[in-house]
Amino acid sequence: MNPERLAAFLSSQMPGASGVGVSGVARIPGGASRETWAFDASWTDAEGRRVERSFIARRDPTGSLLESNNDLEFELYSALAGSGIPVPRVHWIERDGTSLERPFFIMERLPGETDARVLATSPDLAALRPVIARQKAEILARLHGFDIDAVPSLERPPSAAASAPHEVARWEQTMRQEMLEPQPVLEIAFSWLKRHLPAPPARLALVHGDYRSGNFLYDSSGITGVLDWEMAHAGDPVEDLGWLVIKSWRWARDDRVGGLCPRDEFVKMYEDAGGAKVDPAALKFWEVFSNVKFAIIFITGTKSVVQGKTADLLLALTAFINPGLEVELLDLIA
Amino acid sequence: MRPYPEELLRALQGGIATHLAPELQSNYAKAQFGFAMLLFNIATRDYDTAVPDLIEANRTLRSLLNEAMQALAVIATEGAAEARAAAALPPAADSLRLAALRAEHDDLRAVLSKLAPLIEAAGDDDALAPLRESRTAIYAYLAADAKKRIVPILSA
Repeated sequence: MNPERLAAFLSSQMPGASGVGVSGVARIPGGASRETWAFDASWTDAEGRRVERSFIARRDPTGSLLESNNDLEFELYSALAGSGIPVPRVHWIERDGTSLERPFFIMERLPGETDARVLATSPDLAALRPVIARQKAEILARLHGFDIDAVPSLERPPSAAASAPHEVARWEQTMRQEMLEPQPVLEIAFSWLKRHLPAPPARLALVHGDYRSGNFLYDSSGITGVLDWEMAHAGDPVEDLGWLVIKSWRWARDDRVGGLCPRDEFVKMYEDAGGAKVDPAALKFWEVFSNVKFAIIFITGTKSVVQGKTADLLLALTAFINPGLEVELLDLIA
Repeated sequence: MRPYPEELLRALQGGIATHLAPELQSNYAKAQFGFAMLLFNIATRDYDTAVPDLIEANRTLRSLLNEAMQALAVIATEGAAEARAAAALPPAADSLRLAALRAEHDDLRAVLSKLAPLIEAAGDDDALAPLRESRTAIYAYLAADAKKRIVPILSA
């Protein structure tokens, strides 16, 4: 990402600012569905004061693990400001990609780390883990109570009762579009999902879609920001719980969800914080679904690599996560 | 002739690690380098056994599908008849080239995919009970096959 072009974009967005400079532009590893760049900017404001700020730019990739929508993420961050759900403040969005080759938006850089493995395993963070587990459950309950009508472009099923069939159909269609080879384990899993649809939720909720350790920032005070909303949609709130309990996120390599606390404990904290009561059968359905969804995300990444749409080697590597997901799926549904 | 392809892969990996890695500055570039090293390991691991693995997998899959087809033949539902008609077994590969063996493998997995809804439902649908033995064997095969492909560092 070119610092001069980034500075020129900032200048164009801040007519009262002069002497805009950009430094420390660095791509943050990970973020396989959208590029994440950190940078610092400084300028002189209309009152003559020198201002220095740290930002994050989220830019569309050339090839990706999933097709996602910059507008939706920008709109969500805007809508969630002041909701009690910690999110970075968003500043600017460019949809045509004129300034930086591809569409992007810019938001503030919040303090904290995202490394889920360190959080789950570091002896230094043992006292912090229960704090974060509780906050994670409380934020999720709050998020599920958010008014979805405040986000008009949020994709939603026709009704609450259609939540699960809608998601199953959506991801099955994605698999059929993206797969380069037959996927018998996923076909078996789709059959299981269609025969084990959960009871519908009382109402449609805001579903983050990727709510897991690794997608929030934390520091010694706890969670400082919830990130990576590109898979957000309206649906069954238990979907988010199904995603965060899958084996892939058990960073401590034991049964603790997200490497933080036992599953039952997390569910109870979520319910105590105002989340709807979680039906264990629905949680299992969404856990199976989440493993399927995860595998299909990697199938999409594999296609990007094979078709030469990306040089991001992470996407080539993630293809090799799928065998573990297949084993887990067969364990869950056998 | 030497170096064999797997030896070349190891030489490439070593050369890149020795000469290029120290030049990398950003965390992003260092992460990409780490991914490249893992991918080299996977390519080296899979290179030598690709042909015998595919031959064995195709033989096992064909046998499992034959057994499933025989089980389907005694199930008198419309779905079973349709599945049998739609899931004819493909011919065996006509050479030991990887492309031919992979094509056969994909064709066999496509047949298994077509049968998947019946095989899955056989677990608790009494009308499909004759498929249960096949279901158990196919699940065991699929799990074993997936375990062989696992890259330990990537799996929880």
